[in-house]
Amino acid sequence: MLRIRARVVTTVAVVSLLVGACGGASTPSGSIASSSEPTGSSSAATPSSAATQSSAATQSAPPSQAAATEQASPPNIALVPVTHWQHQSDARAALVKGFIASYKEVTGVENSFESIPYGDYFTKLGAALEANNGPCVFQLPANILAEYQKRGELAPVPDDVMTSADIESTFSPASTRLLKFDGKYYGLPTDVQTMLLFYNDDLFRAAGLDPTKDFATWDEFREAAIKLTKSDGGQMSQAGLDITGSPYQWYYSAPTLAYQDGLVNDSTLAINYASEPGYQVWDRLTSLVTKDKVDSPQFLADQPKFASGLAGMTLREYTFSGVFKQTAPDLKYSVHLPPPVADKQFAAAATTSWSYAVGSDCKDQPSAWAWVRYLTSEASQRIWITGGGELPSRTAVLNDATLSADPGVAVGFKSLADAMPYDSLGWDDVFSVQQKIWDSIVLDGMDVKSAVDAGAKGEADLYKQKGVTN
Amino acid sequence: MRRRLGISGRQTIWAYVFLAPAFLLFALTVFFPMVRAFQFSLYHWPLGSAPKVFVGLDNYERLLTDDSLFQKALVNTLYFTVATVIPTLVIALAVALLLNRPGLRARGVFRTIYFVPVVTSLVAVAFVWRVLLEPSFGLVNGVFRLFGLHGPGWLADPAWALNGVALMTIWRDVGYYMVIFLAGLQTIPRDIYDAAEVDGASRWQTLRRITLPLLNPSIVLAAVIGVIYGLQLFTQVYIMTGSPQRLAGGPSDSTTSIVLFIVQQAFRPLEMGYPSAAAIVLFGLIMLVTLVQLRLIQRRFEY
Repeated sequence: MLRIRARVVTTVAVVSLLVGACGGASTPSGSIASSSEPTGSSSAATPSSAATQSSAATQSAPPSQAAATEQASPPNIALVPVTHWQHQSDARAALVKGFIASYKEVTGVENSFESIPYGDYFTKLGAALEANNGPCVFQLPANILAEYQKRGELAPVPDDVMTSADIESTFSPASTRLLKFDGKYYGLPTDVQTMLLFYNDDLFRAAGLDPTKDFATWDEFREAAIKLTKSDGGQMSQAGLDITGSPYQWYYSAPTLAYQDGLVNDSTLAINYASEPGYQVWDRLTSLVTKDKVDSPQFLADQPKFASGLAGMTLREYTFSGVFKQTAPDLKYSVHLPPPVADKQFAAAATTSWSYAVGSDCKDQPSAWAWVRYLTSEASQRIWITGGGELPSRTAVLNDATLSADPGVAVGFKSLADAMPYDSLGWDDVFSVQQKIWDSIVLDGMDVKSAVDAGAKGEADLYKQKGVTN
Repeated sequence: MRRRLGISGRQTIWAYVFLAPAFLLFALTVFFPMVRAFQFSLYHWPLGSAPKVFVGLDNYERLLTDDSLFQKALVNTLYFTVATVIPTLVIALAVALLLNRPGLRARGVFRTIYFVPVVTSLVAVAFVWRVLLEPSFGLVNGVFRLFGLHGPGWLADPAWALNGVALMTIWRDVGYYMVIFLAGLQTIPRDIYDAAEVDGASRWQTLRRITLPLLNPSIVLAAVIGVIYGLQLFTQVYIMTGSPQRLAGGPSDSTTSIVLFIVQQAFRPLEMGYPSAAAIVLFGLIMLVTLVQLRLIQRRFEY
């Protein structure tokens, strides 16, 4: 009886995929809306198009069948439902639910999905995997995939899903660099982000600045930030730059861009940023607060200054082009490439990415990988771009002129073209080490070199403690 | 030949039979985890299939000699405990004395008002206080500004952040200890106060010679509970100082408590050995402080 059912399911799946493949080239339902005009300079873009798409796609019907079947030719297997966990994000959760619905239409299989608050995500995932009770499919930052792989909690990408050569020719090097161990890939990339500079266009004009231009130098940027800062009765009433509430985008990206080989030496695991360009970068970033006073930790502490219209600029991930549209609908802003922080910089923007992985204890790994392949397929990526505010990891999508014709997406694509990946070998744990450098300089008044050296030592000790090896 | 048990023996056996379910549950949920935590503390114990390496007392040595964050967490926790327990008990006692006065109108209303924070979710309260303590637009500094004063940076300032957490905790806990003191005050016989009044005792003498000594069991109870809660500081710090952009315990580790340290050390690197050692140290600290407290403040008084 079971054998008959399995055969029926397999037949249905194969037929569905073949039928779907006929329409595979059609545009997915979350396709690009007509673009609005860019606001001016080479990279600047008003968020209207990208953000509107983001909002619209989030609320729209599930992604089309075209997405489900696009380039999908999963192995000839009887697919079964699998569990999928990822951290909470309204836009991403809505998209995953849409993908589940369209996947069901095609395969007849309904996967279960759990969206977990970020603060609890790694705790819950780690404990569940340890108890052999974890999900089959889950999302991990590329930077910590190595730790999970070392603990034996990940299954490698099987060749019948994608060979290593396929992965390398399909996805951008920045998105796959941290996913390969001992010649095998252990995840497929998703949620690619670059750090971009957002301007409040109204505040720029009020300060006599042009919101359509990128900053060519650090000094230009600094001077603009100073001009945008206002005080009232000795107290800050408008920040030139929203940085103290969330400086990590700066200290992930600026030191990364100053070192051609990345923040961590691949062969020795030495922390590169405790050297001259690193000191310069940390000095310039923290001087914005300690000397130029374009923001203060005590001004709207932990509140969204930029979204409240009380900051002239902020550096955020590309996804915020959609987030701000939803959280601050009246805000008029544009998106730009950030200024160079170090005197010598090897790319215009830094990137972070996550990956979809499959647990080694998952009993239905073929079904799990079929789901991962579907989520990271070309058609799915187009939907992620428009609905989830993320950038593509597939080079074919990155080179798609129809997508980059939209100015909102174009800035993101442009930033990604030669972006350098943030390559620290940790996530929240390294974040706290680097945040400590920031706090030591900005809050405790420590000199830059001592703080950076102590942070680099802390990061190296952390790697030893975690048993991270090259 | 079988020896028959006496009534007392049978009662003892039945007592153990009835105690057994609770004891089993206690053993499973308290003793067993404690023993396992002690075992973990002697190992490098990463989650997953990675090898567990016996390290003896190395984790303890590292905690107490090398780890400046643990030492800071220890100091923060002790500071918080002292900064909250003493003011809370003093204020709660004063409120209880006021509300215990015969003839006070609307006594029930006042008791309810003071007790409302206790029954409110600590998470919700912490979120509200986080906004109240915001330095530039928060209500607390708004009051300072009314008097032409510049309020502190509270949670944004390493020098003030723990005081902000303590302020919220005092506000919330006063009602709880007030109830303990009220219950204690109501057990003191009225005759003793009447006799003191006849003898011409002043209010201060009555408080010092009658009320406080006879309230000693309640004070001991409140102090022990307060210190244990203080040493287990976690939720307030986690909510008031953490955000998606910042790990809890900041700014500059100024609010990191021992329990927060344990949680962060366990679930960020997914390593159970080292934080288990910190948990055992905390257990020892709580036991030691409690014993010292009992020795110092427990008195037997009778009139």
